[in-house]
Amino acid sequence: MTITTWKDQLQTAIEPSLAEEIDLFENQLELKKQGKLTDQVFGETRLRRGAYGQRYDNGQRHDGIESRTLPFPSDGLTKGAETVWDAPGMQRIKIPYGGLNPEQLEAMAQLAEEYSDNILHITTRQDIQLHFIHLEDTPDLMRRLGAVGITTREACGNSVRNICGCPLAGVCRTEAFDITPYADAMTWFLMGHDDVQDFGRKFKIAFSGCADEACGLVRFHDLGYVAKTEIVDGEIKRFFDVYVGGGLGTVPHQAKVLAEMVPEAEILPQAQAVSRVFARLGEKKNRNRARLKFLVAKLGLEEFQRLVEEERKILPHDDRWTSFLQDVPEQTEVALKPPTFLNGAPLPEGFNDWYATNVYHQRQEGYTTITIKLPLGDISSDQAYALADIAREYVGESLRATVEQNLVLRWVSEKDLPAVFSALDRWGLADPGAEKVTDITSCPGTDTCKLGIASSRGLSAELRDRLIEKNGSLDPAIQDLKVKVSGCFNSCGQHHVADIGFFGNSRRRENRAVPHFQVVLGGKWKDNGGAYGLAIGAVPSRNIPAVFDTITETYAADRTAEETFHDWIGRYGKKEVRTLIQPFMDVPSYAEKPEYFSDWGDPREFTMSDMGIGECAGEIVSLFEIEVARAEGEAFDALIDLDEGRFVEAEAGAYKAMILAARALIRNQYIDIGDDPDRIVAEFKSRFFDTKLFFDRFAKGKFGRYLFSRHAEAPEKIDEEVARRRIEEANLFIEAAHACDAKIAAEAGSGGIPNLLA
Amino acid sequence: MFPERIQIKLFITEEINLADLVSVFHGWIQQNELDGLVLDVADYRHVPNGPGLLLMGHEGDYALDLADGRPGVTYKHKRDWPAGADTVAARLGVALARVRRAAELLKRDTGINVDPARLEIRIADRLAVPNTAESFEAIQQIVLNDPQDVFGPISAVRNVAGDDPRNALTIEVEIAPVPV
Repeated sequence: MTITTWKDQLQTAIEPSLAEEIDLFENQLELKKQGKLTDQVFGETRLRRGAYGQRYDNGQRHDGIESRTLPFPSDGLTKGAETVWDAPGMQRIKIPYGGLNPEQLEAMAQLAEEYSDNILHITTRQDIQLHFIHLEDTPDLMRRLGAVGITTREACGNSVRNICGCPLAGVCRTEAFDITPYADAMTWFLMGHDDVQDFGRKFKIAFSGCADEACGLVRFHDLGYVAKTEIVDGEIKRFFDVYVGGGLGTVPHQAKVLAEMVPEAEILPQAQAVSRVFARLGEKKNRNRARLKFLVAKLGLEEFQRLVEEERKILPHDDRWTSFLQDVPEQTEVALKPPTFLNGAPLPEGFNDWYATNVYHQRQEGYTTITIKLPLGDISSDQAYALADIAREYVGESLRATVEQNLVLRWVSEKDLPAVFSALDRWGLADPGAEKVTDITSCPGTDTCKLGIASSRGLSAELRDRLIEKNGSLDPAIQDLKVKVSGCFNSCGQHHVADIGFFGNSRRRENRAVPHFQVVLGGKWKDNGGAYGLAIGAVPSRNIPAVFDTITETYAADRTAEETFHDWIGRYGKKEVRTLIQPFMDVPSYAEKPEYFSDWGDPREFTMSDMGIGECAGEIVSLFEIEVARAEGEAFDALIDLDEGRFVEAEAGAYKAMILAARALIRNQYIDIGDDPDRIVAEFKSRFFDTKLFFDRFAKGKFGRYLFSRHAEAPEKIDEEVARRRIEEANLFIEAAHACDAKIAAEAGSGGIPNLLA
Repeated sequence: MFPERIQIKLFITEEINLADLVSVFHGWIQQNELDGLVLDVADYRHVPNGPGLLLMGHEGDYALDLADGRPGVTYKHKRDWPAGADTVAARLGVALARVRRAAELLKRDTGINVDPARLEIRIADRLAVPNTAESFEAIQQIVLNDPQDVFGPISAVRNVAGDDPRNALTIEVEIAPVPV
């Protein structure tokens, strides 16, 4: 029989239930083409299979001259709201705790070569993504993944996403025990579970082997587990401290302790109970308030704990809660080679630099874990084949993806390090500086993400190139910094937990959009993402490298011995740092420096959300820009109040900043609005919120509601967390005001809404 | 054996700086210079010997590709073949015409030349055309006996993918110099 389809070819290679699911998905594609499924239903279906949208999938793209319709042949067929069927999308592939073997790596390399752009992209949650995928290729792609034991199920959508875990689990010198089997059991227990099908939003889980390092980043997950041991009756017993309600996103929340010392046998039923409470009481209508962190904040931790405990008591027993424990080994992997040590043999050129930064000595003597530093998280198909060969030759099965967008090879016998280095180097995979300042984390940003505002990858590549060029001369304190970049406020690049983070936004000058990045300082990577940085000010994208140099050089010169960047920021003060960056915040005129009006790596004139600014409508007298500067000043003062422990003043200042930003918008239309907050809020609502002018394309009215909510009710108790959150909200409200002003200007330019001062 | 995804690469032997080509690629989109619907530029200059700089399209992708350390202009057709492209030879002809068009534009806009003496055919369709001796033989015959003579006078055809079954079938074609 001639094999004509992957379905036929892989019939016996895929686990039957997975094969059935993929067949069903393929049928749903057909039903959608026949008009028998709505966009909403099909959209969620596709997302739950990891088939995501991608930039320009609404069929519009600004090519640098004008916004043009992309003439896809779909003939009106869509795959979700405003999402053209034929537009390429992204396929997210779940890699639980980042663990993969050479066969799986090769399979993904082949898929990247056939269906994508020859690149496997490692994400900040240990997934692998392929971009530019046609939806109709996804069933075969899923089958080919299924044949090597990978599923894309619930990789996106309102579901339990990839479960993260420390890439050093099982080999780490500081862990309590190897979390791998627990992360694995949780993955398969919750995947497709009835109790996780009715969430209002996504749900992220992470495991860490200890509290102090960063690896699992437990503290910004919906549900997080930190391994602990205790001697009970003379025996070492395993427990977890369980955290709940963390999250980054627009306004980050630190997870709180749901329960300490939870026995290993209890983690699955407890997670099931949390899921039930979230599904039952979590927000469903307003997706911007639907993450678990909002439910925990709304109910209060104690009430949430009580509800989970009550739910746990009534759960029907499930053998799977504990059956996996019988198979939990002391060690999840077996080394391919015996332990050895470097024996004084000649070392290849470049080895020492690489050895200093990319090699981790495992707790098992004679073995190392090496980090393959991937620029921007990208590895080509050819490199992936080579890496699979290297893994087979030196370690066997043991590869993992990391949250810093790298891959690690575990169980490398020390004597093999020079040979492994040389083999990697032949394929451009032996770049030194893993997890150092040149190893910059970046989300996809405007390259492929629909939500991207500025080019996070473009900026990261630029910073990386500049830092590599002077890496030899960089102060050691600078070399250790964590730098993370997001293309927008959503924090996929995890900018909040970087020493120096950036997130993309936009400002207007001369009726043109200018790419900017907010500078976020003071985050903490250690302690599982132990503290969040705060925005200091928005700087034109082109000036970010200079700002980076200024801040880091000042740090290197001013720090006391052993003072971390996080501590230095606390001591030096945000006000002073703001003074450092102030000279870089201005945008020169277009005539003087047109390069400021395009982004790194993209010569097209910058546009906001790919919306055209339109032809020149004459110079607009921007009262808004003058007025909004007051709001920004107020927000910054609130930040200083926060820093100095004046939480009540900080919260009030942040609220005032929102009022001022709303007023700035109103004044452009209604100059005599006055200063009464009630009147400002009412006018803002009718002019900008009810008309949806203030709405973000994806976040909708989320930022406007920050103002309404605070205006309606001042908090009874104001502590550091409340004040910090209000400042985050104020900054986002101000960003939204800038975006709204740009939108109005663009529409005025194209004959839309009149600007009374134009 | 009827592959959907066929790529042809024309090699570049001179020094190139991909940074200079980002604007050129955007310009080709703006001016609608290429066949097929071209969507966006994907920049992988940071990946050693990687896919380089791509013009991602609906039917096919163009690239200034750095794979194997051998830069070249590529065109990979992926779907929606034009009417009449219902034989492998015809599909090779479509892909070759498109990559040659990209090479012409490159020459026009940057002065960069491609090597006229060789090209590479890569069939990234492991279902239809696995990397086997039989597949190579079949494609070789099609290339050598192409009635349209799209490649010109062929002096050699060889399999450069080796015998590794995970690789896509890859064939290098040497073109004899045309006497003046």
